[in-house]
Order: sequence, then structure tokens, then C-alpha cells
Amino acid sequence: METTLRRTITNEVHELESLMNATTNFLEDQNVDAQAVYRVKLALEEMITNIIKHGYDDYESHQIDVAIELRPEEIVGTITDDGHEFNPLEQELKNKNAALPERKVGGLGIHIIKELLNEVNYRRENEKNILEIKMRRNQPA
Amino acid sequence: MELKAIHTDDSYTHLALVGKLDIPGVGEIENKFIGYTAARKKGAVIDLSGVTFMGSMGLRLFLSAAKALHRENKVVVLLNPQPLVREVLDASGIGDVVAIESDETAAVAKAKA
Repeated sequence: METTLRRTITNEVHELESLMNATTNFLEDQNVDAQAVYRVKLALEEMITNIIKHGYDDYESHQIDVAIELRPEEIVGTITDDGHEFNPLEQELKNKNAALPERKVGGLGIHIIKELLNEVNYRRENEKNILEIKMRRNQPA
Repeated sequence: MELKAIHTDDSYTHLALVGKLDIPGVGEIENKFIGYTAARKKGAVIDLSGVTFMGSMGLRLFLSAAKALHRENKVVVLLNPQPLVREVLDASGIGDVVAIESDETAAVAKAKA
């Protein structure tokens, strides 16, 4: 059984749908529990949307490489893009405890990923941003 | 993504969302949702029991509506999210400023207040 899913998409939001469907099929075929599937898909959507919206200084087509590896205890997702150097983990959610009128509507994506994933790492290598997410296959009850 | 208007009168609005609140899903219903919430200026119950996936775009939608209605002294109440959607709501901290209810009668009472 194949234990790594690899996909390359371009920097267009509509490309996400086929990636999400492939991810769902791949993880469900391997009996990963529904909570872990949901969280991995959530992380992919939030991170890749962030790259597409904020990662590039031109209007050219760019490739984003995605790998989802199944290990015995965890799922490791890797997203690689050739945009400008950008570490989303340095973003802090502003006004997160503010009352409703002052509450910001943006910036929630990275915040919820930090909360729900077991590990999120960023590195810059060979002019590329590499984001790695780790999620346990089965969450403790 | 589907938006159903369950109840609309002068006292409150009751909507139900069905499907995935991902980027395409939010795009499909956003204008209609704003029309039924911020533009109507009535307290709103949003039934989430039919929502199977929600990311930060969904959170934005609800926070924006809640902020707009707050200016009219009205509230948004989120009703019956599925467990995995509830996790996202809880992780975001939105529950500090937007009510999340599992009981429809209580949700409607808050929206009508």
C-alpha cells in the first residue's frame, strides 16, 4: 500500500478542491480517524490559501508541492513553495481576547492550526519555504 | 454549499447552512448570508448541524456578521455544530464573543432578545 501521497498544484485557489479530495481518499483508505483527516485537510487549506494570497511578488504561475506521508503513529504533511521568504508561524493573532467590536476577523487560520495540529514547523531551504505539519493518526479519547 | 432561510420575521432570522464552509463554499453563500444577517439587522440563529467542514473563512463570515449586528444591539447565535466543526470554533476562541448553543429554543430566545 502506498504510504505517501504527492501532488503538485499551481498557485490558484480552485486547485485546492482536487487536492482535498485526493487527501480525503488517501487518508480514509488507510483508516486514519475522522478527526485527524479533518485537521490535516484544515491545515492544508489554511496554509496553501495563505501561500497563494500572500506568498508571491508577481502574477506568474508557481508550483506548490504537497506530500502527505503516513507513518505508523503520525501523518506528516509537507508543503513546499517558491514564494518569498515567509514564516507564517511568526504571525501572532492580534486582539485574540478583545471584545467583539475590537475583535479582528482575519488571521484566525494560522491560530487554529497551531491549536489543533500536534506540530507545525517552518524552514527556508534552497530559496523555498518548507512547511511541515504533524498529526497523530489516532487522537487520545 | 446551501443556505436555507428557516424563519424570517421582525423578531429574528433563522438560517441553516448545509455543506462545506471552505473557500468555495463561503464564496457561494457569502452575499446571501450578509443579506440575511448584517443587512436585515435582526438577531440571527445560524444552524450549523449540516456543516461538515469549516475553516477560517467560515469563522470570518460569522465574526463579521456578529460585529455588524452588535452595532444594532443584536446577536448571532451558532446552533448545533458537528463535533469537528465545534473543535474549530473552540480553537478559534470565537465562543468568547459569539454564542454557541445546542438547544434551539435557547438559541432563538437569545436571537430575539
